[in-house]
Amino acid sequence: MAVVTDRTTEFIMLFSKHSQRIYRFIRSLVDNRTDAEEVYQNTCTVLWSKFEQFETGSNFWAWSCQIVRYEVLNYRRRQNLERNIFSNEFYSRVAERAMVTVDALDRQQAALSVCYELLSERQKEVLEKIYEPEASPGSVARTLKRSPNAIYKTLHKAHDLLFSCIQRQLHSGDLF
Amino acid sequence: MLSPAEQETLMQLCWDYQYGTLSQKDAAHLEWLVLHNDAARDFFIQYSSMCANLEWEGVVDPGPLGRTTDYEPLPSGELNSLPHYLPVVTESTSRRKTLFVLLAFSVLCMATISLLYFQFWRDQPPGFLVRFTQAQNAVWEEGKRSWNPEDLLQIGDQLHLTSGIVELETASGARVILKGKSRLMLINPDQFILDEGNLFANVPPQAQGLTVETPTSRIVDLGTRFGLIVNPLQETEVHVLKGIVEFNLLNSARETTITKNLFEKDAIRVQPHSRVITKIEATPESFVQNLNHETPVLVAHWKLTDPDNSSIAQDQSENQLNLQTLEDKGTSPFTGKSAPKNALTAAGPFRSQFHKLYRKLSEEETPLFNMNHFTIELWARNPNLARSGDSDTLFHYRNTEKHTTSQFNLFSDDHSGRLGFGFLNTKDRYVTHITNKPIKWQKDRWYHIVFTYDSNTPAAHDSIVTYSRTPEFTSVADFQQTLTQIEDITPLVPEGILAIGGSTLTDISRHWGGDISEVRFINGIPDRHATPDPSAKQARNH
Repeated sequence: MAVVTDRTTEFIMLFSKHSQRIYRFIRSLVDNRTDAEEVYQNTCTVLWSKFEQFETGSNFWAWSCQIVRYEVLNYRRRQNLERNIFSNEFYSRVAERAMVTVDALDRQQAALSVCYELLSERQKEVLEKIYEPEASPGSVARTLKRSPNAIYKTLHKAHDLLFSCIQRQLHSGDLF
Repeated sequence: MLSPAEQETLMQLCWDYQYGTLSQKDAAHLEWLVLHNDAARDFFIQYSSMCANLEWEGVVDPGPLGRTTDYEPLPSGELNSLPHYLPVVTESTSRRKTLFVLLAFSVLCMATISLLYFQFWRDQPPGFLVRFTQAQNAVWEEGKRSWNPEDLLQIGDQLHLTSGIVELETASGARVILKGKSRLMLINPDQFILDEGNLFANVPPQAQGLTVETPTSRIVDLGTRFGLIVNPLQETEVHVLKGIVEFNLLNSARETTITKNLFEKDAIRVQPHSRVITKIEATPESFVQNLNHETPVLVAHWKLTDPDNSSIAQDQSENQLNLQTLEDKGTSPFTGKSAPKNALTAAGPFRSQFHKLYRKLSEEETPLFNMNHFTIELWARNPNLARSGDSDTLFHYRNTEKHTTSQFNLFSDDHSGRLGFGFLNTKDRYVTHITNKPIKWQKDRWYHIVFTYDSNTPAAHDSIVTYSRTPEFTSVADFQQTLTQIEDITPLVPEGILAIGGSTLTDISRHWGGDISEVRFINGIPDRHATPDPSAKQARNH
């Protein structure tokens, strides 16, 4: 009978635990979703291909972050210079900080689900549509039979509300 | 702490950034805030993180937002984001345990070494970017700097190596071996430009990201060993010997137009003007991988892609053992023949002795050929089977003034098509060994022929010889044979004639007949041609 090796199981367990963190980390360094997803896929491939180098019991998150940073570096090298709107120092400082604040960002994730329920049905509808794969404000506008400008305003407002709510939740300590 | 006004400003900037509407001026403002204010940096990260969490629902499993609230192992949707090709392997429990123990031990050793290494660098941060560590017979271009072991390179430093081999080590631990003739420039701590030459890089995990630029390409190491060749025509070859390499094809503005990952044993060639990428066979022996150990070394590589009617066959190795046609009645074998395996052209037909390509080897050149342990590989087709009475010669060496017979001959036998080699043994006797059964040669089909000779132990008559022949467009040899208990070969005597496609200058009958391409003479036997168990093969063939 075919069985999954221990190392494969270990990888699946670790990767499952950290995959969303990894994507979040990438997203703080890549300015758009499409490219972030490409970097994420490349990172997955490299993580798996190099997993034999990972020492069991050591810090998978820290190890993954190093690989992400190389993948993001490669991504930025592939971009035209004008696409890199920030300096190397900017990306470096953001990456260093994002690595060590991972626990706080985990808590933010829990806060998001609470705050999401506070949005209006219309706002939820727009958010759900815009975060579907391949969606764009234009496509959402067509689907919901609204103008792109109206979609933009709704999105902007929803993000502001969500973020403000998350900040309040985190600082009130309700989630801990 | 951020004031409400600062928070509002940051919120707008972060939104514009996420939505792709951030102006350059606003980008500069956002950067300034993030770099100079810790709270602003956290704010930016938290905002990005919120957007990522929202997107994640779409990435993993489109559904109600806010679904994922914990990190329980393998919650329903997360599996969708795992690599698709996770292998399912059948292994016995005991083997798994043994492998696990070995792996754990290796990882422990590596981790210890890495820790010590990093500790060392932390205590003594390197004051250099790249260190020149070793040199073997290095000759530097006139008027350019001569580098010596322990010299330190800084950004902008250039190496103009005319011949010989040198080794560099980057501060992050990557080892780069350069073989002359080469021109290399350091442009960043882990980034070089290779204008021309032959470069091998061994990149440990902490140095991943090492980048080498060539006239047409940018190669980024993702671990761990690769080789690059940039010839004088600015053709780039990338050979991945282990691990993964990211290959970027650049346009004339040096912008990336194609990116692809190359894996172990992948090799490609890029034409300088057309930017056409062709897949080629990876040849590790083209690169010096270690200055301290004997590894297979390419002595000569005649691609036979020279221009039509050329009277010279260029040797692509650093030894520059170019061949030539006969001076008087010589006829160029370069007639624009199509070639196998994505090569542009081949040489041929070698229809008479006047088409052969030859070189008289000097006293300095003959020792380059290690006749104790070598490989000859080439592509050939259409031997002269119909002509009776003699052999169809592929590769030949003879000093007519010293010996009445050939010193070395690789040929196919008339009529039977069997492959054979003849040579002068250490008792000055010419002996031949021919494969044991007839071989068919399909008309116009290219065959990859590999011949290896290993003198084995210092004892006489225990050499091992292998032949293999693989038709083009197949990956499996249609003929293989190993011979053992073969006599030892006499080293090449200087001032003899090395010939491809024919034999000595005066012999009129021994010529290949058809076409030949990509001839390599390699000191040593590359792993891909090594015979794991000669005795077993011999038993099978008998």
